[in-house]
Amino acid sequence: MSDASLTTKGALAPFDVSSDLSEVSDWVALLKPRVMMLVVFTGAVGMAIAPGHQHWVLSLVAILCIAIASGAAGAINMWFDRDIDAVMRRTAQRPVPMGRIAPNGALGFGVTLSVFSVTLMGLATNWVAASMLAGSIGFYVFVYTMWLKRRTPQNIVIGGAAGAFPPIIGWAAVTGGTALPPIVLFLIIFLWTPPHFWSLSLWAHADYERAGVPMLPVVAGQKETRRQILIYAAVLFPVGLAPWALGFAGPAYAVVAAGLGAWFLHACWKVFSDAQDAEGRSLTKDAPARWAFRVSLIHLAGIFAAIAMDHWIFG
Amino acid sequence: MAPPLYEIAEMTAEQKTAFYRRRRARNYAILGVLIALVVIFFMVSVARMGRS
Repeated sequence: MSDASLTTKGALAPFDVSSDLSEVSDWVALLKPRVMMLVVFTGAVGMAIAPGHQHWVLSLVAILCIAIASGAAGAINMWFDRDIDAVMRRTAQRPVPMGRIAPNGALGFGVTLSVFSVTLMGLATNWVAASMLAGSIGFYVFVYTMWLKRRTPQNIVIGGAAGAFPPIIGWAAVTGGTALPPIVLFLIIFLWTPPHFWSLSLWAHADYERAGVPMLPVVAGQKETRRQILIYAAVLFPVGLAPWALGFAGPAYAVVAAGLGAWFLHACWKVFSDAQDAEGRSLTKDAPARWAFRVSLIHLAGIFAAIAMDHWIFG
Repeated sequence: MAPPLYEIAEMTAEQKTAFYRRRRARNYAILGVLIALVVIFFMVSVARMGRS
């Protein structure tokens, strides 16, 4: 290892490094903390609305396990995707492509945390929840990261299921099984994921193109992507009202969900009708897509917060 | 994996300071995680025994 690589945090030696270059924050970054926050929140809501009583310590540990598992899957994803992360502007600063953490270090970290989170979930709650947790990690790593991401523009659609598991896992941690409510919550996240990620990919498509990732705008074009975003948002709207229609959320939830759903649908309509050239490229620097991406985050967080609040206030 | 001792010896004073600072921070983080693990397993055991 050269002196230069030490002073430049390994930027001169992208894939052949010692973990001694890493800061604690680099290991935290491997866990994709921002993704983790949404996963933890949706998993906690799944637990909150589940029938039955669970010791608060076990509930907290179950949430911790979901968080660690999410981070573990993120770390393994960063290990596998280090080649494409290095050429994408959005991900080039990650610790592995920057050479601050060795690839094998990231892989070992992810696998260790995966085993630990599943084991702790099984010991603290039940092995049904632990199996689902293991399944969600496996789905994200093997099905999404290794299989679909580089092969099909539907990668986000099918791979999005991995991020939709937490409410089902949270419910199972309390009840030891599953039921319709967590499956509806799963469906909401599942349908929300494509418009969320495709909004991002509209302005980051050059990155994906350079990396050879067949995201929808790269393969099918931006016009088609805009159409798909609108279709998914339109389907998501009634599904967002399903908790009320099926009777496990009250009218207060329905009002909030309808408002948020309409707001997101409007943002997606703006993406669809954005000023664009013949091939669908934005003439407004993708301002509507950036807005829709932000609205999507508020929309999902709001829907889940509304379900939890409705459950706590109205029972 | 730590760098070989001769590489540490070849570092400038500034690089050595940064190297030891990073290592100390990681060691404290691992200590924190280990203590948290002990607390978590203790509390999970108490909660599970209380339930049964």
